[in-house]
Amino acid sequence: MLGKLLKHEFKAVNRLMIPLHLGLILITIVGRFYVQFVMNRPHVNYSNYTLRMWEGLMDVLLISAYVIALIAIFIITWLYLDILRFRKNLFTDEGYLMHTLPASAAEHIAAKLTVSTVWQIVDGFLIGLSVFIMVINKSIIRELALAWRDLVDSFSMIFGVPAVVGVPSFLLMLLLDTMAGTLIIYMCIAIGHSFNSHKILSSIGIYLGYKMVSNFLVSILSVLTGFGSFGNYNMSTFFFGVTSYNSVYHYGMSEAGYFWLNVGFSTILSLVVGVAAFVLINHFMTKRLNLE
Amino acid sequence: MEQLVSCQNLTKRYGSKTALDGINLTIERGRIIGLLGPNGSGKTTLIKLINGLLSPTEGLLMINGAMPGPETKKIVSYLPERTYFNSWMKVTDILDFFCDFYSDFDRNRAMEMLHRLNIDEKDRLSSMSKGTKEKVQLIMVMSRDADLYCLDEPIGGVDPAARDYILQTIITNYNERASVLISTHLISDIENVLDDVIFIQNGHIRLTTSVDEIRAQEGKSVDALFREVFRC
Amino acid sequence: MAWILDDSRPIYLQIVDVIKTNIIAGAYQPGDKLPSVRDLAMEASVNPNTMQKALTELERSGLVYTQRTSGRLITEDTAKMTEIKEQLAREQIQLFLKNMEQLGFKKEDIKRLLEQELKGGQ
Repeated sequence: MLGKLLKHEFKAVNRLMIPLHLGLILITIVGRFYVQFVMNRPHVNYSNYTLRMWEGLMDVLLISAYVIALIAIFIITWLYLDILRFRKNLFTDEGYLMHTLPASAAEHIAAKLTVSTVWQIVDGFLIGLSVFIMVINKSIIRELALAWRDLVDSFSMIFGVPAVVGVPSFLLMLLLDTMAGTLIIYMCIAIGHSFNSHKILSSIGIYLGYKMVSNFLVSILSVLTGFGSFGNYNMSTFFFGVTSYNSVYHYGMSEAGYFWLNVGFSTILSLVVGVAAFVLINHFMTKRLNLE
Repeated sequence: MEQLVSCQNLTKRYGSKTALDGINLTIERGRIIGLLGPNGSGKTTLIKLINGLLSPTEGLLMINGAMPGPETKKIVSYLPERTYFNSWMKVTDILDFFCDFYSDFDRNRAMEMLHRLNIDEKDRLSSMSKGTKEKVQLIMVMSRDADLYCLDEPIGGVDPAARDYILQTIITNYNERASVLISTHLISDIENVLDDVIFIQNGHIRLTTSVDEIRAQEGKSVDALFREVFRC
Repeated sequence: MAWILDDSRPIYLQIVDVIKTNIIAGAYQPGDKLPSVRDLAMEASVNPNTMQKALTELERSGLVYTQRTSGRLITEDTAKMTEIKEQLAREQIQLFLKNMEQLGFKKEDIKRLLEQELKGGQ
């Protein structure tokens, strides 16, 4: 049954996701040609300030448009997969069909989560690739090839962990964090829609409530342990904390220890939060389902 | 006869409002049953409970000996009082969907019924009128070899021709292993196809009997009796 | 094409009457096969269970009999047919007489008016 749910979920979601990401690829190709054109633009007439000003304005506008497009694609992907699709398919009129299929609530959640995660990975990868393609040139490729060893070495120097181990663990943490994030939003929608009225408002309220409580708990943990941050809850301070030798020495801990503490804690936290959210969604979709 | 549905003290409350109040009811196989009551009497709540779209606040509900869940959904075919398909879907998409999820779905039967209504499989739902959409949905629901069909207000806002089509579809697809539960407040329209009636009001069952019994004992139609029982 | 049924009597009894009338009137010939329960139910727009009940009732009256291989057939027993025909006629006459009595006519008056009507009609 899960296989069939996945098949039809992909079929429905791909209708938006494939055109959207084809658009991203198209923007990238066009953008790359423009970059190529700009780099080879002859600046013969240096005295023509007006032309140069217009050229500069054009460049700024196009770069802004590109950045805005990337952000928009990222947000649309996330908004559609995590909120709109889940809500519309399971908690509005379509829910009358979905919830009378011979499938369990757990299978529904698993199908939605899988499709959402797969597309978020594709989305993230394509956006990264797009930026990379935009900035790449011959010298960067050359430098990168030369500096690759250094880069790998410096990873293990900064984090105290070899890159081949550190990078996959970090990516796993990121994956679980994404999935937990999706499940949290599903949970807020599932709980919010068990109310008799103001379903959307309740969902948002529950999300804000959850954020407040989780931030509060994390800050208590920080105070108790003396750590500045806990993994994914504050990625920037995580990196800052790791790279700042002072703090590492201050805690009397090796770089590796600090890395594993953060990655490990964050991974476990995502797992716990994700599983708890899954159990709650399952409960609300079986015992507290309340379609209009 | 074998019990298809049984309710014991079945109660459903929404907050402080009681929609169903301690209902005891059994439905046997091979019957066409009218679930009759004024608006807001609990008809839809009962049907949603049978389909697992709601959970009982109290009491027990069994379908073919099991609580509502994935197993019972295999044998219950449900027509809600709203259209639930995505408008981007073509008729073939819907056929594929039902084929994939319901092992008792008879694709040929559905196609035959669609052709008789001149509905092309390549038509998109977005290009159809509301009435046609409702008919497509009815065809999908009735093309399953289910044990129980729950039709919630199938003749609500439809014209007489569509109503006749719905009744014909119900009669054509009748089989003695299956029961059909039809909720409505328009009784005279469907009275002749019913075996039994359940009168429901304010979450209570007022009467369960057969149509023939009402006529033989009261000398009046179910519709007339209904008006008498529910006189304000 | 639903059969016109009234509200006061059980539906199956009304169906019995409709089919009886059809047989007597010759819409079905002796030895003819009756349509299946489902088809008849469709034609009358009634529940198949109700139609089944009506056919069982017809079998009891002897107008219809079941043959294992070919389904339900109209009786070829002409005596039986005549008997039922006359029974139906008697019912109509009784109804007529009852109505006339309600209008205050005596038997002699009814007879006189009836003869007059029959002559005038010819």
